[in-house]
Amino acid sequence: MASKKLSRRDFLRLSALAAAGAALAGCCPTAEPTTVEKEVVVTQVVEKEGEKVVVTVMAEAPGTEPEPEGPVDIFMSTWTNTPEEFETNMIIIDKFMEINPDINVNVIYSTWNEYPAKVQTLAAGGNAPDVMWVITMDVGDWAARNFLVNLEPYIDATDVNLDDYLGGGVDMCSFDGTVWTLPRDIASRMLWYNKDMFDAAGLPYPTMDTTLADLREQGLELSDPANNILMIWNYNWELRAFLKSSGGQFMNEGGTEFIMNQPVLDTLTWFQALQWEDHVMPQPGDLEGIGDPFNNQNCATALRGAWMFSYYMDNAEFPYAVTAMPKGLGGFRAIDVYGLPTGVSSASRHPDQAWKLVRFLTYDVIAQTMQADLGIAQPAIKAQEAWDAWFASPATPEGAQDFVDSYADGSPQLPFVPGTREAWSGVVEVAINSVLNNEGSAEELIPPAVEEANGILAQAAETIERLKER
Amino acid sequence: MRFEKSPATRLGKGFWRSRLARREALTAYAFISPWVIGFLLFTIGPMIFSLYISFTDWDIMTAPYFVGLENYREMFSIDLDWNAGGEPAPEGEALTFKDRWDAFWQPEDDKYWLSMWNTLYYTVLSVPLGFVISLAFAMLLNQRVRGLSTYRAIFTLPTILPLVASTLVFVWLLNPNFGLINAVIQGLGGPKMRFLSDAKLTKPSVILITLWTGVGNGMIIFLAGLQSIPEELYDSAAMDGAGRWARFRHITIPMLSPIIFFQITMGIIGSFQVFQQAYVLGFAGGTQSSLGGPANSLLFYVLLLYQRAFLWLQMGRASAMAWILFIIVVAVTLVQFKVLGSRVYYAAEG
Repeated sequence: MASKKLSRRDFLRLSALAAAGAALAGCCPTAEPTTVEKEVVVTQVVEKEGEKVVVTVMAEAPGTEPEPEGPVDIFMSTWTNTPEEFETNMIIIDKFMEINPDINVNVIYSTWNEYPAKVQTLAAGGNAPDVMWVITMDVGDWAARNFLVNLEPYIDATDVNLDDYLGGGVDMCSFDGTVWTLPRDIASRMLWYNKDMFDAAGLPYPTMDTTLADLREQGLELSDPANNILMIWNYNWELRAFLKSSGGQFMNEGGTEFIMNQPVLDTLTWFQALQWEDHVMPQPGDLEGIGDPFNNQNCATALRGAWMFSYYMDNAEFPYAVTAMPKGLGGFRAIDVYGLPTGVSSASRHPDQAWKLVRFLTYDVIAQTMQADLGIAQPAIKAQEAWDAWFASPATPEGAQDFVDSYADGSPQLPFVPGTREAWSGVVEVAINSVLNNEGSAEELIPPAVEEANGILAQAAETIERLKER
Repeated sequence: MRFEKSPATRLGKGFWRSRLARREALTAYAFISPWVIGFLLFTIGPMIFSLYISFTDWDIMTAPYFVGLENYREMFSIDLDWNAGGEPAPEGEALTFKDRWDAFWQPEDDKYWLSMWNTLYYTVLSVPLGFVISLAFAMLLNQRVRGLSTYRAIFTLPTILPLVASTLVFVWLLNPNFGLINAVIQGLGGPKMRFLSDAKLTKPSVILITLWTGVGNGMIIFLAGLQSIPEELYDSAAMDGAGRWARFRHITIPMLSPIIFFQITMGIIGSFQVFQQAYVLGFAGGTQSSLGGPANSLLFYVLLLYQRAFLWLQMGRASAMAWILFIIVVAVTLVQFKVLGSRVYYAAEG
């Protein structure tokens, strides 16, 4: 029998078929979210001693799949900017695996800047991580788009008591009245100061009562712009808090609209003058590319969080201390509460195991104490043991108590709704940076940006409504 | 350019009827099939998928939703206010050209047009400059001087460095307080230049970085072209009294024309896709808002596409942008072929 030869036309047809197959495979939507509907069996034992939370047995949380035999592999996405930070986080993950030998945790990491792209690309490829750190600004968007599992059934089924978290933490992790993530840590910035630079200028150290205006006055004495010695470094990174403590209204209550009223514009103008008239704060680009200006002793003060404890302990070659955020132009203090929302992906094939890890990292006193002791983050829960470890850590600087005492002034940054990332980082922050860059006045640059940003928020809200209808 | 017929074509249809010919053809297809299959699977397949996505609202996390031409409509919807030029200026102020233009030109997606403008600015300056400097260096290094190979190696070094590393070095070099370039400018009595934070200077700075990293590449190609020009042509022209400029104009340029055409074509295609330098410079600023540089002066087309796709959950709009870019690049390339293609001299054609 004569064998049939493959003609050029047939070959091209086959190739096209293969390509179409690949395209179709690529067209497959991401894995459908699993739903949490199974009946709940609670078997945990919880003891509470005052504020102390001791968890001895993990609860069996609701899930969709029967328990597999042997260790289960789950994936967790995190961001980290240094190998040391990654290794320190792995110590806590290793502890979890030691306690839960039936779960093997694989950590996927990227830099903070590339984190959303990394996770979303993994999700598009059908490989969404089971457990995810979530950037606060993305909680609303990811929740509204069903990318996160609603944690409330798990919370109800286990020992987790939301009142055990520090104030503002759970709000930061929620959207539309539902808890989608839980905070691994709750943090905010504090005022770091270089004692040597204050001593050299003959100035008193900052205290709980120090205001922005005080620091400006002191800055005029301490700063020597010609030699790149300045009082203030990165206060613009915490502008939202200072806009609040000026008495200004930045957004409406629901976070669905930017307001940016006159006190906000006045505060931006004040910050513009700090750089371009008073010369106590670096102008944009002045200190770019030379590392951390506080660590390099170019700037006497900086606003940084507890996540910098171990970095400065290892690197700063000068005596330093911390105190609470300075009070704003309105004469009171506002603190933006940050933290690390941690959630379960709706595409997870092992949501029960993923929840176990989320609960361990965000609520278990062992993990919370370890992260405090290792100096990578402050605790998210009120457990005394964890806070004792935080204060006892060699990385915790002098004055940390001031910072803790000021926590009563803390509130969530914003009620981030879908579209906030584009509206904020794509429009409003660009305009704010232009004001600080002296490209125009706040009155000229901010109102058009507010209008554009509100358009984006409105469009995002419409998209979410359409998604709900679908 | 003429193509010779292959032996198989010359032999006509009868050739294909022979078993040997079919076997040969099949073998040839087998050999090229890894590339063809890879091309279909990993290039054409994703392109078709992205074309489909460009007609949808897709956030990556949920299923794509068909929206027809909406993504394209948003890009090109522009409200032109023809009466804006006649608006009276506020009392005591004069309307600037920018005021009048801003009032006249009101696109729905102004970021898209800003990114287009930034990219065009970059293309119009970086491609000709890169071309001229590469050619100039190639001609310098085509001379017979001592240590020529060392010079060539030095000029080529920047091209083998990763662009990210080179860009970070330039963040240092261009620093207003500590950078070497500013030190030289100020040493000569010039002002402090905020290369990376002044919106007027950011694009020229990126062009500078591109030239530093890219000129070596072009130079090597031009050098190869220069060395392939027969010396006799120059000798006979010199005997006929042609000066340096005449020899350059009438011998060097025509003989290099295929390379010039290639360089310009590839340069324009590459410049439309500028991304890395702006991305690195943006993140050197420390915040996501600085990704587009001061006042979005570095918001290039592909950077906006990246933001929309991966930061703002707008893969549909990003895919539409990608297809518009594809059409622009194809159109510009066709125009180049039409305008420049006929002026290219291929020595082999005689």
